[in-house]
Amino acid sequence: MMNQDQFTFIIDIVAILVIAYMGIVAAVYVTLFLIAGPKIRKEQGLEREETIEETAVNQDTFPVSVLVPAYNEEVGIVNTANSMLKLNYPTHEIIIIDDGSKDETASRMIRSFGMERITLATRHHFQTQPVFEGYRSKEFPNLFLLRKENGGKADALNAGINFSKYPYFAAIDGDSLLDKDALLKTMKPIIDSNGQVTVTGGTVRIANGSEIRESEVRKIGLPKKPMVLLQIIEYFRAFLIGRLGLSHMNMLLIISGAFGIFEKSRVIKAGGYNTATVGEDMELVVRIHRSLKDEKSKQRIEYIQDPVCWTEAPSTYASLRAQRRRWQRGLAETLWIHKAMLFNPKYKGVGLFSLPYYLFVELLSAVFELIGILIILLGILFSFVSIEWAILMTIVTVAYGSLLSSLAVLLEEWTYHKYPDIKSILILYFFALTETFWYRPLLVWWRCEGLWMFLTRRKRMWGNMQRQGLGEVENRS
Amino acid sequence: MVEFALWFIIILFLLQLSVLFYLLTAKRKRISIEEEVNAGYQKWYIPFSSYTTGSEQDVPDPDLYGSTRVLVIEKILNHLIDHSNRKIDKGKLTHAAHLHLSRSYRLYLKKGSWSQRVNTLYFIEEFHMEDLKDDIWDLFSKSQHYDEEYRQSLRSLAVFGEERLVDVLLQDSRLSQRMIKELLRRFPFSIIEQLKSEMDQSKSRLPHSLQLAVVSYCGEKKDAASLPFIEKRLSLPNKEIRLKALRAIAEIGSCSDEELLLDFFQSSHWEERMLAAKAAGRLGLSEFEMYLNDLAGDREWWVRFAALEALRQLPEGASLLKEVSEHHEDRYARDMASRLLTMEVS
Repeated sequence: MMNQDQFTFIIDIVAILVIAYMGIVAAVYVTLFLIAGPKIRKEQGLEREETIEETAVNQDTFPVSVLVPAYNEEVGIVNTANSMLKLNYPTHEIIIIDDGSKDETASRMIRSFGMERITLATRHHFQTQPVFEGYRSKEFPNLFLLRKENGGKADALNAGINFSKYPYFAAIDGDSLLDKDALLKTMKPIIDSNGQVTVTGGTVRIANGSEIRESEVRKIGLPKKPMVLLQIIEYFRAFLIGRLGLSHMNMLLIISGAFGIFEKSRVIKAGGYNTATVGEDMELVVRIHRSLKDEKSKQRIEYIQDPVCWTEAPSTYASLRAQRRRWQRGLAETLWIHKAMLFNPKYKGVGLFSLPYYLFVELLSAVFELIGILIILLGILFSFVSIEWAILMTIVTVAYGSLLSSLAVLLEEWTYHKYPDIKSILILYFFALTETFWYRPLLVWWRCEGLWMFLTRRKRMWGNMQRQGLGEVENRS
Repeated sequence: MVEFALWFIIILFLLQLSVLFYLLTAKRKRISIEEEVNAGYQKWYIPFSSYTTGSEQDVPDPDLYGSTRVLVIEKILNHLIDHSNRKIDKGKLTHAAHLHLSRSYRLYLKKGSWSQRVNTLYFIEEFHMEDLKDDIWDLFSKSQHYDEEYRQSLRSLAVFGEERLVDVLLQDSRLSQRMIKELLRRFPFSIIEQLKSEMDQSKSRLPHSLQLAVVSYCGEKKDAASLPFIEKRLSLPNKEIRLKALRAIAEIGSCSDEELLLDFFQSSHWEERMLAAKAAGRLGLSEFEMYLNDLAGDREWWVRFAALEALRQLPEGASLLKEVSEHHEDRYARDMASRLLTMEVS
């Protein structure tokens, strides 16, 4: 039997490990901020509309196929299609892929856009579930609808790639709205680099609380629900600190499934979307990195800080839980599939830094944090941790976490400064301070659940949440 | 240990307070500048609009100072160029820009931040402020990175027909074909001719992207006078240049000798077969119908697509497509012809 000294010794060691881990994670985040900050600062005040004027009228701007996979998206699909039709881009086609929806997704599209059936003659870069119908809008000849048997989001995207005719494609979630210049801004790195950039993504922002009219975000505002507010801060941290920092070193492993642009030939070469994972967006990007490194190609994957895509954040605890469990599971699956790249010097920064970062910081942090929380709570309960220490540790966590959030808000102000008043900044600051007490423990628990789902190999499914529709976000959140 | 933790907490909170203080101050300042600029814009838009559309002869002189003055005038002039429904006298707009903005812009180009310099370069081009040409050249000469500042300097210089750029184009192999075409679209005719003549006569190796860009530009301009220059490139050993020449012929929609296309229908490169089909369609060459029929069953999807599109462009195109959809020996050709028959040309 373990005596009390031994028990205390073990707890002390675990506590020290958790604290050391937190310290390393903090150092990584601060480093990423120091990398992302100067780039954002440099471009602060740049007239972005002017930088894309040329691209908008240039005949050499690559045409793009916009792929929108949809499963039971009857609430938002027409709005999304309208948002795509308003995109300012010289040549693009929009392909909505109805992945065997059981609701009125297809019929609403057909009715709203006067769609007519077309004969399908598509290439088969990838095997997919059968596509049984194709439609084209009479009113908008660049708008298509494919109807196929259910096969999941990755399968739907593969079917869209098969049907698409342009050399680049944009993959967009059915519940997203794009800024009207989104394609121009996101394609710019590809065009400027003369094709050296093979994949790009932009910042995804949460639309809840903003004013949306005619499928466009007109006025940015904050939602009323604290859980949505904290997701906004989380997105700032993830995109402006994490992704921009990693992108700067060509180590970015995630281009958000909500909006990303890919060179079609590169994706075909990599084998398309993997239908066996729920994290198909990240898995594809890692596979592309892998093929680039295997070929010793100089092509790279880049992220732009412009807010180009708006999405509806989960506004109920049930949908947030489902989303986070899915994300965590997708991350675990991707890391498992590409475990051979971990710590492998052949894959340079991606193998030596990026993948370990995602493993230890993004995936396992939930486990470490859970242990930390349990030690503090049980320690207070069973008196093996002093109250003073517990309070001290909590204050350090709050101070550090909210400092990171405030730095993310600072980067937001340097880039878009979209919030119209000082009050918005104060609200974001205040809620950032509360994060440690309720939001973070919830996320930690749900992420551990996701990890458990991965370990027990539960059944996969489309990750749809109960949507209110972005057109109505303003009044509902 | 406890003392260390306490100090750490104090430092973190002080840092956070500093960030908050900075953010609030910066936000307040930004909001106040935006309000000033908007008020100035509302007040001075109509006077500038009247001046640039011809009814007023004196350049308006806003009672504003410092950077607000520059921002207001910049915003008004930019809006007039991009959105005004009435016809703008561009000479007058340039005159107003020179009068009010030249001094500040010169300063920005010399001492401004990176984003300020890039914005200034855009507006100089937009307002056609040629008197700043030498300042841009100075900035360009000092540029060390191939970034937006470098590219926009080139664009602005090209608009002013800066001849020193010819040497840059002949030597800088970092410039992409797209970028060079952007410059060609801005250059005066004389510089294009100078580049074409360099390409015909130069013994030294010119940047590949420059050669591609010039051929492609001639096609884009539908410049029939450039046909001899383009057709000469159909026989060059470099495949990419041949492809550009084929595409240019398709775009121009004419060719001095159609027989030049013949070999390309059986080329071992599918891109050449595809572009030959496209050219035959654009030129309406019914005599090549048999070749197009063959290419409709090509092993490459893009060649089949181009051949069927070309057949559709020929006289009696619809019936030719119907014929393919019903009787072509290749199943893919039949399917694709059926698909094309259900879609109007977009």
